[in-house]
Amino acid sequence: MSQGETARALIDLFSGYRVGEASATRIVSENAAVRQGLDSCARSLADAPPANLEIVFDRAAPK
Amino acid sequence: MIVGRTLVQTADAIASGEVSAREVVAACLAQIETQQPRLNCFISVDADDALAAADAADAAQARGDRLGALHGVPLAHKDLFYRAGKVATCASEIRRGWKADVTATAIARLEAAGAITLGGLNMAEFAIGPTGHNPHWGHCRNPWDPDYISGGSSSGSGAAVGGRCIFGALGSDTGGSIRLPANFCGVVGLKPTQTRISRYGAMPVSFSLDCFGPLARTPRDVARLMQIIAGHDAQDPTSSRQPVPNYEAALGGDLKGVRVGVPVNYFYDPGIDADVERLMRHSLDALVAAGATLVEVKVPDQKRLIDFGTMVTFVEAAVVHKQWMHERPQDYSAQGLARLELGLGYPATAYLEALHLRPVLAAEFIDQVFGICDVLHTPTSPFAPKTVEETDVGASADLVTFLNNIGRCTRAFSYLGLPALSVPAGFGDNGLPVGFQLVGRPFDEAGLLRVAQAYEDSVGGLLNNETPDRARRDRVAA
Repeated sequence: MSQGETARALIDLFSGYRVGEASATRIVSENAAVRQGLDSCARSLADAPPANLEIVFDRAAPK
Repeated sequence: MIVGRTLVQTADAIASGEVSAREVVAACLAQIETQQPRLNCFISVDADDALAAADAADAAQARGDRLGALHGVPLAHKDLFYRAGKVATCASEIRRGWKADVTATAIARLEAAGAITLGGLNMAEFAIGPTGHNPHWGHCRNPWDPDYISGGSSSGSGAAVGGRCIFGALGSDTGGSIRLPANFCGVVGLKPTQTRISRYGAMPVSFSLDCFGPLARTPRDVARLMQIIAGHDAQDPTSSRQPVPNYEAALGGDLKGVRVGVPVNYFYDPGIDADVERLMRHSLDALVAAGATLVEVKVPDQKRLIDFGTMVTFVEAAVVHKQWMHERPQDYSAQGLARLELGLGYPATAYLEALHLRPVLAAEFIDQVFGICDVLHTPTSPFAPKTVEETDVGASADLVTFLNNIGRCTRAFSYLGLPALSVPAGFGDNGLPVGFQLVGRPFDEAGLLRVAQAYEDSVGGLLNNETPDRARRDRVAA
């Protein structure tokens, strides 16, 4: 079974929705890209304190 | 010519009695009648309601009533904004004929300031698509040459403002959907800070990343619209309580002391067209002439931010559309459905991790970039408008490559939630508009508009004061 077919089967199993074959192929490649990005963050963020976007925005706003 | 004026000029002309609201609305309706067959930028035109509103505006003025900042000025908005009792199709088959029972806060504020809504504007189906293609309602086209794309997803907003049908419009932006049509249609488009404008009363794409904002012909026009729509709204608890500055008062003067960041990585990597790069250099020269200082900036990994933004967008879009995807898949376009299906395939852990990292990466970006510059300058799109035909990728194998390229300069800033403004920079080798993008720290829309205004002053008018009436071949020859 190809990765695309596996993704298709899992999505069908979990959501009851049958994605197209081309979509399944895209899902595999997009997930690979995201996983790579997350992996690169995880190394540097293991000790990062909790953050909130609104607080980040308010702190950085022009005073 | 009434429709050749800017939004602020029109508001001033009505307020001074030089022209009546009815004359302005009638001129816009006449322009729509001429342009709609070329551009297909409107989905609905409420001519009778608009003329009645114009008569009421003129009567109020005659009585000496206090006038709003947009008294009698015609606008129209992307057809995903709700107006109570009016159809909001989202340019979809699924919502064909669907009537809203509430009015978007942004529209309510504009109308309370005296604006007259002329109708609903074309867009990508459910705001999912960056080109202006739409198989349900017809493709929206570029006002500078209708063989070319308008950009999307706020395609009608860009085309109707660029085509002089209206003086301003609301759009929505989840990855570039205000900035790209502004870029391709030769107008100014602002994606404000994520929480600057209420999102109440509109069809969502992505609850986390959706952002509403104005498109108009000049920075001053955008400042006028922002003054009215920005600010906290009790009906959208996610909207910010940060004070709203006086955007128009921030305009004017030179740029002495302003540091404009020029990225040394990513934005000018292979893939950007030579004519776009040339126009970016010219726009930087104009900013220097206005007094700005250029500083080189290394920006954090854009691809990672784009990948995270894409995941968050389509997971949330798949949640919004889940029921329709199950029950009415045949009523979506092939491209729309293909992109929504992406959202079903990400693990929940990855989605939550990307959301968890968002403030961390935003803080990192702000420190790294805005620690050494006041605004970041980039291209809005790596290429000038392409033809409708050559970009009609549907759900083909070229889809992802094309989408990644067209949004490569805009999408990261939606994930980061930062304000970003597209400003016309000139004409590409094909005679069609190209824009630059200014990105700022959170809630510094006034700073972006100030830089854009100084640029406009420095070059003596955006796009050489050209109008779409002039044939493209003449612009190329010039």
